[in-house]
Amino acid sequence: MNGRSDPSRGELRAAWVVLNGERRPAPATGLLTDLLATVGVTSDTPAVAIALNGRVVPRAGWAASRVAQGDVIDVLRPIQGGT
Amino acid sequence: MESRDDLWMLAGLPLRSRLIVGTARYPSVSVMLDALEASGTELTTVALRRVSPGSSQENLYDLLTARGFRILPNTAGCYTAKDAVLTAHLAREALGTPLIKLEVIADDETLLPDIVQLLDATRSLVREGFTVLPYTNDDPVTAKRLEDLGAAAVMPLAAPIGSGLGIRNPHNLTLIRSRVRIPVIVDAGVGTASDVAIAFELGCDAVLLNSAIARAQEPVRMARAIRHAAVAGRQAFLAGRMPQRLLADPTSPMAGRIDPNAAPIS
Repeated sequence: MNGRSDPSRGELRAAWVVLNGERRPAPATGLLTDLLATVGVTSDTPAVAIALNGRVVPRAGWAASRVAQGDVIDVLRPIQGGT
Repeated sequence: MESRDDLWMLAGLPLRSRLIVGTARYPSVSVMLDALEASGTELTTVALRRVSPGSSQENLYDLLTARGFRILPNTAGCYTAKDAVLTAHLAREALGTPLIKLEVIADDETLLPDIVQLLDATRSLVREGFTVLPYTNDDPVTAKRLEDLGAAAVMPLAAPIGSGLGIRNPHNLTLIRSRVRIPVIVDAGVGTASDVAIAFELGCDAVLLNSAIARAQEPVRMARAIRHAAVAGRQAFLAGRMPQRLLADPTSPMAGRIDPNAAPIS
């Protein structure tokens, strides 16, 4: 063994997810809400939508949703836009 | 200024102002809010994007709703029906509105609509209960197809988005107005107040614009001008313009004129 981590043995490496296009450590609890808290989003935050791997997670489903290694999470809000 | 008895209905939503105004490209958020107010609009467009915490965009929703503006989310930046449908679902989830201004563009140089994808996305979204407002070409055939698919309005372009070129094909807008029953909202390409007046004189029901106001030297003054133009154009349409003719038609009677060669009669 050369001491480097073996990509085929993912359990030895810290799990990560992709949040708004950036790689982040996955929350230790595996809970979506804990990941959202890192960007200041709670169930009371107005005008936010969450996509998990390209599918909308309705607000009512945030609490029960889990995120795992490699998941892609997007947090979207309205911004200034025209036509 | 807008008359109380000239309300228009957008999918059951009664609106007094016939302007829908975008929220992008203003010199500042405070100019944006003042310009929106000066335009008299009740409905403003927004896009949906990833926003980092602490960004100035973070409280746009609160700013707009606190001033009483309704929000119309768009699917700007979507190139496929799949993209646009996902964005519409996210917008409905974030904003709690079934309204969606549906844009599916073909390329980022012209921003012209991709009609094949647009029809596809309209069909899916109508089926899923959205109130679909598709941005389309100034093509009467496509407009009719969109109506048949259940679109709540059609939004033909006047000219390419952000070009300010004005109404390039007034005849097509007239044809569209005569061939669909749903509202016709001119979307994109107007550059100044007179373009807005022309859209209404052609019988269009509303105009959506952004850059014409936001990129004017004085956005708030332009917003006010465009509000006047919308009222003027709409009133001119309702008044019914005079017929056009090729040769002059004197407005003062020819009879009873003085004789310039008058001389004493002997």
